[in-house]
Order: sequence, then structure tokens, then C-alpha cells
Amino acid sequence: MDERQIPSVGEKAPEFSLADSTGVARRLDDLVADGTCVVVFYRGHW
Amino acid sequence: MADYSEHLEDLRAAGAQLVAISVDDAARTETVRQELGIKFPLLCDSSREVVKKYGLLNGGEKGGIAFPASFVIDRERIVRFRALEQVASRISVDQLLELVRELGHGVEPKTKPRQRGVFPGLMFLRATMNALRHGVRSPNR
Repeated sequence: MDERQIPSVGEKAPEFSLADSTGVARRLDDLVADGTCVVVFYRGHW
Repeated sequence: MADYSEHLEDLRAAGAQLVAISVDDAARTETVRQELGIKFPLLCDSSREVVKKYGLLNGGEKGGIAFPASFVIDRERIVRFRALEQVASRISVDQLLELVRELGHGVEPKTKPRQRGVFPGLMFLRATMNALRHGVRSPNR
């Protein structure tokens, strides 16, 4: 983990576009267009 | 599972959307999503591109997985809150949902992480909810 790279409070969050599990593309810019977005990174089921 | 969506609506009513990201592939993630009845998008970062971009790649785990972390991002894409969890513990979507459900009631979360610090956003998400409810919204609304 590179802590310097993790966006801090007050910084711009890096844009991303990822498909969700149903194949729908989700862009961060679209997600925040309607207001606040909570983005949670989780470890997953490896 | 119906009550999950009910309380997710509380989060939405507070002005927030919720998405979760892992490196799991779509098939695996979709199975989990359906089993747990999750109503918010689960994003798949199999290439680890976004996890890397956010500085959260835990390369020590099989193929590299995400360190658990949560961000609240406003409409200008500015990070308003963040919570990091560097303890190499497993986070479950179950715990996330339980927490969201309890937050919806406005009560102290009863969810007990399996291990201290397992869940990154416990205190953080409570603060988030309060902030959203009491006006830390983007000023340009």
C-alpha cells in the first residue's frame, strides 16, 4: 500500500469507471452528479 | 433482505449513494450480491487498476486485493472523509450491510467485527451519516 497515493480529505478523488456485477458501467463522475457518494473498498471473497 | 434496501434508502435519503469495490470477478460478485440481496452496485476491479490508483493494493495477498477503506466523495469529487484499515483482516459484505441497517435506525451499531479493526468504516460511517444529516453537504447545492 502506498499511503501517499491514497486520496486525503480535501483532495480530488481519482476518476474511475468500472463495471458492476451485472455489467453496468459505473463512473465516479456520474455517481457524484446527484450528490455525495460513499465508496467502500472491501477485500472480497478470495 | 427487504430491510436492507429499506435502510439503504435512509442513506440515499440522507443524500448519499453507496458503491462497493473489490477485485473479485463479476460472476463471483454477482453470486454474493444475489445471495445477500444487496441493493447497491458492487463494482469489479479485476485488473486492480482502481485499487492501485487509490493506493490500496495489498500485493501480499493472492494476486493482490484491496486494503479495506471507505471514502465519502462530494459532487466536486473532493474527498470529505476517509477511513483506512491496514489490518490484514477480512471484511465481509454482511458486516457492511448490518452496519448500514443499524445506521438506518440511528442507534449504536451492535455489529461486532470478528477481530478488532476488521471493519474500516464503523465509526467512520456513523460520522458520515451524521455529517450527511446535519449539513456537511457540498455548499454548492
